[in-house]
Amino acid sequence: MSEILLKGIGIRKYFPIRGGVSGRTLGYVHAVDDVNITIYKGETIGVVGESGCGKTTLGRVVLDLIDPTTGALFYKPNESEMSQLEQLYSELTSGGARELKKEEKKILNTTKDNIYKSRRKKKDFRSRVQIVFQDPVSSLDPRMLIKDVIFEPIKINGIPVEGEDDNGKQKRVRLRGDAATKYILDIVTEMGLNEDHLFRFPHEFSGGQRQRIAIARAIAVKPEFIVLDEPTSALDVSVQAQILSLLKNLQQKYNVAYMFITHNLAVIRAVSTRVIVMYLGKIVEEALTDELFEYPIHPYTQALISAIPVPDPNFKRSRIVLSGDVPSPANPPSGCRFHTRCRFAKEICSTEEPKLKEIRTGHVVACHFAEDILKTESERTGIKKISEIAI
Amino acid sequence: MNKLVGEALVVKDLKTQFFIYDGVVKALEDVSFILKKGEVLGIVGETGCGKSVTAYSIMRLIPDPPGRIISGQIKMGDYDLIKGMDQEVDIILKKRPKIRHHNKMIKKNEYLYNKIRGRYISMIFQEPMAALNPVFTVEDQIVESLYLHSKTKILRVIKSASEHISDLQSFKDKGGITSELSGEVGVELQKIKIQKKGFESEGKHLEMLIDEATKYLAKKNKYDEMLKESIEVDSLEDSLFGNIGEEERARILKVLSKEAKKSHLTRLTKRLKKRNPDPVISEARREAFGLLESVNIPNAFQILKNYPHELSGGMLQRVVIAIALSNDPQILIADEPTTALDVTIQAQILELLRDLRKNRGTSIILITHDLGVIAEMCDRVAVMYAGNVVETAPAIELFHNPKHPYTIGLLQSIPRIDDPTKKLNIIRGTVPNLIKPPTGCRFNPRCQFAFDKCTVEIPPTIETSEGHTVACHLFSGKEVR
Ligand SMILES: Nc1ncnc2c1ncn2[C@@H]1O[C@H](COP(=O)(O)OP(=O)(O)OP(=O)(O)O)[C@@H](O)[C@H]1O
Ligand SMILES: Nc1ncnc2c1ncn2[C@@H]1O[C@H](COP(=O)(O)OP(=O)(O)OP(=O)(O)O)[C@@H](O)[C@H]1O
Ligand code: SF4
Ligand SMILES: [Mg+2]
Ligand SMILES: [Mg+2]
Repeated sequence: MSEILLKGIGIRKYFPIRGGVSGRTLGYVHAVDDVNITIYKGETIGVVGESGCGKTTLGRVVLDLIDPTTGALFYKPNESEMSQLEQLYSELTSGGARELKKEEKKILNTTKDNIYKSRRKKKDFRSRVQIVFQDPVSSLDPRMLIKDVIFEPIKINGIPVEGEDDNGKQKRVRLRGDAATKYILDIVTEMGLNEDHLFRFPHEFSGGQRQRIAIARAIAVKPEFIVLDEPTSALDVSVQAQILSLLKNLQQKYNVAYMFITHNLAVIRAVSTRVIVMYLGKIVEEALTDELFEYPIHPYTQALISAIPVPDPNFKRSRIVLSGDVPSPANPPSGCRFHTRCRFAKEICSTEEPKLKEIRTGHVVACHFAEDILKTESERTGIKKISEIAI
Repeated sequence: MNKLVGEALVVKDLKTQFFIYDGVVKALEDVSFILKKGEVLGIVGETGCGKSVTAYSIMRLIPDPPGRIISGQIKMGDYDLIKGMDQEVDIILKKRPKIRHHNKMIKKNEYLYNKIRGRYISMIFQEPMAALNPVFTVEDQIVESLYLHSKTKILRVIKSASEHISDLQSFKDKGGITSELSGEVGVELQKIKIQKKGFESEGKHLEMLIDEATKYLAKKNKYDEMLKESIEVDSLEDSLFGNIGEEERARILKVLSKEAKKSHLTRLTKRLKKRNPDPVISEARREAFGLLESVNIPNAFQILKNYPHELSGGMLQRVVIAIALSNDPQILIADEPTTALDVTIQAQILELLRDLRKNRGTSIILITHDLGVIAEMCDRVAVMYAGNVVETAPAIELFHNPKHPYTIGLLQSIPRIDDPTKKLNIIRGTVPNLIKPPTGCRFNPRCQFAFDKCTVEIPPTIETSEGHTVACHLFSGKEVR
């Protein structure tokens, strides 16, 4: 594997639920609950999962846009730190999921280089990462011309160029005047917009055009890592294909890593190298893309894949329908959080929480019956059939 | 009159433009289509081709300035929704070339249109955040919409509840809805049961209903009177769409605008804040709760108290869907209703739309770029390109026998889950600038079949087979427009 760009450990984000007359805290929404995530340089990691399962929150936490409740985040950790972290991690999770003890929290939080804690690191880190928000309307300042919307991050951070400065940091240049205009124009044309668009306001665009503007703004500063939150969901297929191939080119050129949050599995399959499946704030399955689509093991992943709509009106499918209600993240089910809707659930599922285990090489699943599912399904039908349901 | 025969909405030669600093954005150029009663019509097309502007024009929500509906017809029954508007534009074009507000006229129309917008046409917006008000809770926003548009229904339910109050009480004591009731309240209970959220939620609903019924009985005369008035207003509104003379229509409009003014928002906000709300408001709250449950939002009771920014993208979208469905509209315009939703919830929402059509005969315009959704949902599809409708056909026909070169390109560019190795196909070139659109066929600079005629002459719309029309010089046949 290539070099690690980001490593997040034990990340939790709980939002308080206020209520009553006095605005007391009644409980917490467990938006992200004990997630470990590694992002490698230049890869595309896809994140899928039900609405409200914490994808956006996870994206914001790994970019340090909101403070996590607990957890540590490391930018380009070196080998020795790595092993230390791994050890810490295995210690922490050995007892199953539980509240962290005070001293354990302390270890995590004092580990040097934790981005959440070091102000100096924070600033440097933030100039290297970008996000494209899920809702392009609210993320573009309505009073700014598009030209300025795109120029703003360049003004603040400059553009990285070859070489390093005296402090060993990436060299950056600040563009001005004509050079800046030309630079912006190039990016905008690549996104399929044109010169006149630069002198308009965000509300004068269609949904898809705004989304492209948001992407243009993010890639303008050539970041090392971009979180793309549903970046193509407002785009029609032809423009979507255009943007996806543009993103791919950029990746090859600048070795930028993407975290691609989307519910569109076809897009995930087309662009990402690795996929994380989330359910109610937890990672339930993680594997390389081809592996995941060929051998989806977690019952939730199987249901997801079987529910993809197919552009053919004659097509008849056998969908795995998820029965039961979507549980609330404020009060997640005990044991395996999926057990209320799972077709394989047995007694143990409601009492004991399954841990992430490696079932096939590089393919981790959190399910008590992962091995059985893999075996029985492949014996009965050849597990490939599951992904073929969707075809 | 049979409910499912005929046209729910006829859009003819619609032309909408935006007057901005750089020039005139010719967003829609003679857009025509028909929405039949009880059908789902899909609209697809590249981003920026005018799908949302079409929807906004129908809803009359084009921001003005800089936007204007220049000409065309949007007819519901015999009522042309933009007729009044036409005159405004006339005045403006004759006397002053500049775009100006005609405040009085616009305002008068506005009140009225507010009413038409909930009860007859409602819309699911593409960008949910823009459709919601950030300073009000989700609950207040749904209650507001219900209060403005469904007062009759709400009062009916409470009245019927007050007649069955003892039954409700016994359900509550027994711990569940055990038998069916007659009347409106029975229908409501049936709905609650279908949502199957267990007794906790059933209990909440029952408790609220009993409370409202008690209040109703306490001031029975007052509320009965209120119901009577409300029914009168509704029937007056309904008559607008029939074949009545212009004078009669003008008279009704006058009465209705007064009525609309009466229930205007500022007063409502005050009422919402009251500790001890009247039964209409608390029934609206109960329905809001039920609506969120019906779009499958977990923990609905708590989510009601949240502000929009505290919800995830998909939840917001479902809240907007809930608001659009709250008043049982006759026409629903859904602009990318499922973009922020994962496939499993998308499937549930599509099911909801299907039910709506089946049970209430709602006609739906479904705007989406997801051809998979189109294939699953739509009876007919209209393909738009740069402000024109270039092809319309029954869904199956469109997928198997696309005619217009743009449609063909569109169908080829779908990333397929079954064949990830297939290179993503791209229609070459970019969407044209709508300030200076290409002459002739607007698709000609990107079309691989373009020949000389294409650059000079606008292609007529041709019917190639029953119900399949295409606007392209490659085809010849009966001209329909
Ligand atoms: N307020 C406005 N001022 C100026 N131009 C506008 C305005 N609103 C829309 N437009 C222009 O009208 C055209 C059609 O926009 P519309 O929003 O209908 O596209 P759309 O088909 O809905 O695209 P998408 O799939 O991206 O939502 C676009 O080119 C857009 O730039
Ligand atoms: N600022 C906030 N305050 C309170 N709760 C929040 C806040 N932001 C998110 N949440 C809650 O956290 C949970 C996860 O939200 P998140 O936005 O991460 O979901 P998501 O996976 O991105 O979903 P979607 O696909 O719908 O966008 C939701 O239940 C949401 O209500
Ligand atoms: S652990 Fe049990 S409930 Fe959870 S996914 Fe596996 S089988 Fe289903
Ligand atoms: Mg999200
Ligand atoms: Mg749109």
